[in-house]
Amino acid sequence: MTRATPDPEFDVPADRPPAARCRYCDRPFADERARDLHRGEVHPERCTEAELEAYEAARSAEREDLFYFHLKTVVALGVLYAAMVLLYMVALGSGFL
Amino acid sequence: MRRRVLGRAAATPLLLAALAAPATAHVGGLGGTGGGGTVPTWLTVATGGVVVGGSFLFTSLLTDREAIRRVDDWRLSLPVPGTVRALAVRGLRTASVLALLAVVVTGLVGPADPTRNVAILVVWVGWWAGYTATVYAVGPTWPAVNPWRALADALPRLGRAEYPERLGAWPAVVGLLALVWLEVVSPVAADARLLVAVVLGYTAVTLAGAARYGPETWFDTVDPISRVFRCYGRVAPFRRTDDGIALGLPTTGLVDPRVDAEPGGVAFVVALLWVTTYDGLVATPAWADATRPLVELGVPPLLLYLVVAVGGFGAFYLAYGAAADRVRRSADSYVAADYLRRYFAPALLPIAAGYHVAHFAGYFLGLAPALAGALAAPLSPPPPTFLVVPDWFGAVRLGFVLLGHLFAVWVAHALSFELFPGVLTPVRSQYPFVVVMVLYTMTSMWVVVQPFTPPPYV
Repeated sequence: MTRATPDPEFDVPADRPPAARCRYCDRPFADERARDLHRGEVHPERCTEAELEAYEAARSAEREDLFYFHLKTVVALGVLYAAMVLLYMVALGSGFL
Repeated sequence: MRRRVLGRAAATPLLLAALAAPATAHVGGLGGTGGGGTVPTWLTVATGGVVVGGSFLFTSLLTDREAIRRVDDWRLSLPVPGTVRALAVRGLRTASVLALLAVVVTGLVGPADPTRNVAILVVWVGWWAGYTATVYAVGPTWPAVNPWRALADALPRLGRAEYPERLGAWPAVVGLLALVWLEVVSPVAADARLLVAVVLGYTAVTLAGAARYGPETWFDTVDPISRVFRCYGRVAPFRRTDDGIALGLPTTGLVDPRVDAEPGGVAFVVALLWVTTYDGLVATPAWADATRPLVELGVPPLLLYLVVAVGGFGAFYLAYGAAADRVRRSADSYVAADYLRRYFAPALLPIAAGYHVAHFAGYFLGLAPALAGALAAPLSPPPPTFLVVPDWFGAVRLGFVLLGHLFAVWVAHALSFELFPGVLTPVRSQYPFVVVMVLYTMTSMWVVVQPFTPPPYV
């Protein structure tokens, strides 16, 4: 099945010039890593060897960040869950609230 | 629109009993008097916010783009031969034109008691509460059923006026707000004669508009009711395809990266979300308390209702727009703000559907036996019977509000993975939307747990 791809419009403010652009679709990016990821995801068949390497590098760098991000997410979920249980215990059990 | 029939039918003691019992039980929120005590309203509201916020955190753990696509692309195709489809549409349209005619006739000659009048019961309980639910829960059937479409197609076209493209969906936005305002401030949900007048007025406007601009343009762009059903239909698991019907997972049809460039398209989606909230809001005790001093100061009540209908829509529209603008920053992206607004707008539709079912489910179930009784003997309906909705149903209604938001979190998550590169940027892009959604969930939860209070002065 072919899937439709987004065809966004861009708005580049004069005081925030893009750090990189995709050379296949001219999409602006705020940093090179985002551009490298985009190239490998959207134009994999047109990428050169070097661009594919840059994509892999960006992916593995992101994976490391993602690990810490997920760690924080799991902690936040656990804290939320515990806080809700306690809140219900206090609200229903003590008649305080 | 809910319960107006019931509110007006105060002469029926059984009905009041049926309604008042769950309503007072809701004062305490989620309820259950066993054990330590009831859940206070603030805790119910906070729980709603936490569930939506938590579900965002949970969704952010799912960062495999291919897996997300597999969920969204899953579908079963059911080819339907063209002749079968044409026959079905013709049959449905004939039936719906007859139903429209029956509504007009029974509205004029039927009993004045709204809980025995077929026109009132069919329009509000059968159609606006029940049928609408089938559109988002099953499939977009309105284009095949729409009686006005059938009539317009049969009538000759008068003139060839070009619809001004720049107006886009804005006339439909105005039409939707006007219809809901009319429903709230007038007894159209309880007075069958008035209902017939409104139906005939709507029919005249619709047929004239379709004859002037052509049925395609009229029903695709201007007609607010067709647009409501088209929006709700996009949520449904069954979808129309070129060669028949396809079944997908619920709401995944909304994950469509093609953006509708029509002016006002986003405003209509926001208006759809707002009108159900508005309908609930004006039936809360807080609304009654807030309006009384203003009306005593000399503010005309109808104006007050209108200002809040329009102002609330404006506030929702601005809040959604502000959140979409902030996505540019949270995703550190150059995608235009206007594009972001259009791109993520479909994610609001499951919320609108969830809130619609929360708002109308009790009303529909309570009056469904009356509807069945009246349909069995349209001209001399028996005394109506009502279903007493049990107390725990309040929790089910809250569940529907939450379910809508959970689907919305998924749709926005999946859309962001199509638009932004990598996996962290799509997740981060959603922060502004999550904040707005948590606030909106809490507002909706609060409205849903309020005891029903008839809107004052109307």
